[in-house]
Amino acid sequence: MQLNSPLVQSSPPVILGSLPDPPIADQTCPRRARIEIDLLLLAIEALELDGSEAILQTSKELELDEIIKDRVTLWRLRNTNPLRRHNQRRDLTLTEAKALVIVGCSLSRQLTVLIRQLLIAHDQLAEKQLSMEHHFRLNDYLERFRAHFRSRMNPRRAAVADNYSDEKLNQLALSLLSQLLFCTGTYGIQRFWFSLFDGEVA
Amino acid sequence: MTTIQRLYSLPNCSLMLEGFSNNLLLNSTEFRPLLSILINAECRLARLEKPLSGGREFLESLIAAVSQYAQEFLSGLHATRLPKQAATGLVQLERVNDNTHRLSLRSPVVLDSSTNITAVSPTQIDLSTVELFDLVEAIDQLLADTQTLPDLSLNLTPLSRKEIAKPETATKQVVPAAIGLASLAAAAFAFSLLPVPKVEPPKDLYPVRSGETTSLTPATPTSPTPVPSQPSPSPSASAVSSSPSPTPVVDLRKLEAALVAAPEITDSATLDQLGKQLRGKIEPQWTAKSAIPQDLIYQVGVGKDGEILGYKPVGSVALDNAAKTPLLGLVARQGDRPATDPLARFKVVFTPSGGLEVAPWKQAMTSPITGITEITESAKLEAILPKLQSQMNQGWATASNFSEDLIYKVRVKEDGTVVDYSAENDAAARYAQETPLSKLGKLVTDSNTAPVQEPLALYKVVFPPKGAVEISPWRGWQN
Repeated sequence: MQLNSPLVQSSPPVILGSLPDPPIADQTCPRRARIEIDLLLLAIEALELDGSEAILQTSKELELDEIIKDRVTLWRLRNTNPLRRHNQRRDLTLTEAKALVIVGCSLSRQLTVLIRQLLIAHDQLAEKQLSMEHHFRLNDYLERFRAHFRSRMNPRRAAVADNYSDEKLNQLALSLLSQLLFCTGTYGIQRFWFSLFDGEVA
Repeated sequence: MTTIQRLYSLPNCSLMLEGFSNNLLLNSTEFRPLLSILINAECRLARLEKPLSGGREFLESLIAAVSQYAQEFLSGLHATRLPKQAATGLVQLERVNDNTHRLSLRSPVVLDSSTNITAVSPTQIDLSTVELFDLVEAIDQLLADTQTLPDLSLNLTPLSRKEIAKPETATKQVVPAAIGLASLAAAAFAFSLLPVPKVEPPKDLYPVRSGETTSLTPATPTSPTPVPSQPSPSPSASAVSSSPSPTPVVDLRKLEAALVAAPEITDSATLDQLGKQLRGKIEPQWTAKSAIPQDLIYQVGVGKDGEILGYKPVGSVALDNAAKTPLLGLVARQGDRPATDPLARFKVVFTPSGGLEVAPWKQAMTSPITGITEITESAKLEAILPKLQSQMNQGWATASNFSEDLIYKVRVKEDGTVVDYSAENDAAARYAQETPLSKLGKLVTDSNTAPVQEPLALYKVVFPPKGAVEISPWRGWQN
């Protein structure tokens, strides 16, 4: 019987089942979710040297490479972020979004220790009223994030232009770091996933 | 009966549950028996000397409050929705700034010997983001543990559009129950003139949430020390009033206030530039997804630097549907901007088809549509009205030949002189000559409204078949 066949090509990867479909009208990701997912991955890339390779590697391990096939596909999916220079005017399906979220959260889990260290370092610097340059690893992350952001986001989008200063980008990078921390948790994936649709459901 | 203990331990937080199994056949050798009945839950936080503890109600309230807050932290959107538990909840979480989250535990009301109600003041503690995460994680480990209170499980749903933006009703429900969420955003966003509402719809780079520059240097000298059971002069109210914040919900009136107080930028080159910037800000945020019934018109105030400082809906439809526009999320959060900073006023129109019009307010109001510079300030409208009223009453003999209301739109100079008027219903056109208006100004039809240099006020004048003339500002009273 067809339904019971374990090798049906089109069956979605099992792991996607951990994330339910949100009750939204069309099966595509709202704008905010597309931005947020891409930025989260951008923060991971700023933490890890070859982040995009890690993303591909992880999606293979999680058997999500049906969805995230290769660099080009990954690039296309991430460029559904409307703030990108090379914004792809296409939708991000829920399945694609789930795959990206699962990979992103899984990577964040691998980076748990670093993420915690950086956030704690930030708290300590703030307490002593010291600038970020005083912590090499944190400064490194912020610098890389700013560079990634500036090279990939379209400065002609007002939202990008308004957040172009070092200070604003640092804030963004730190807030993404906190998000990443929450993604590392037991239910981090689910919590992050549901938050993407806040205010989008009827 | 043996009690069972469960510990979920993280660097900054540990959650300990004590209870027993209702399984009578409990086998003491069972590796991990089911804890199904809770006796006590204890939450230890790194900076708090005494643990927070309580029974089932406390635990459920803690889970609900933390869960909801974590979601809002991730999405950056704040809910008007209160989880059932939080509504009466013992535990509240509110945002102080990007990296400070205030957890408060209200003690249950205790009846003392003389049966006077004594409420113990709440315990409050400020958590850093990492500490907050540890609390979330301890809870999630508990929720994921099928051998401990299996009836508790992760229960997440995205906030609906309504839950995020419901300015009016939210105002009404500012009751003690609401504070937890109510003051969530407020402290962080508080600023003197324009309290940024707690409702924060998606912004492009919304992860830069609070926008406050102090995030890197939080006020360390005073806050981070644990504050166990702060004494409070009015204990029962202290949970409510402890938040120093302004009205947490969308307060359009305060946003409007900025529009009134500040001097105006009139230089056309600057206006042009600011207009473009404004459009650039609103356009990417404005998706026609949220259906609007008709054109929504707003007066939007923009600072010299292009930041949106406030806005004011024009008409009730714009007011009711304000939440569907991206304006609220775009209002700049700057605490120290003096009220005297000049600002430029723009007319921003959202159309049901997803269109967006941005034009300098004066120019728009002098456009062929109304043909005038319109007087919109409530105070002026209030002052002109009696002048118009007396003219109408003088020339109005109540003996009428008509059977339905005659409705006119009347344009009046600041001194009360009627410039012209137009009939707004058939009866009004037919019986125009019988009204005092015919002697005071000329009847116009929409097509030949002459531009007038002088600012004019628009009124709605209604002559009922019986009774006194009714006059009101054409666009209604703004407040």
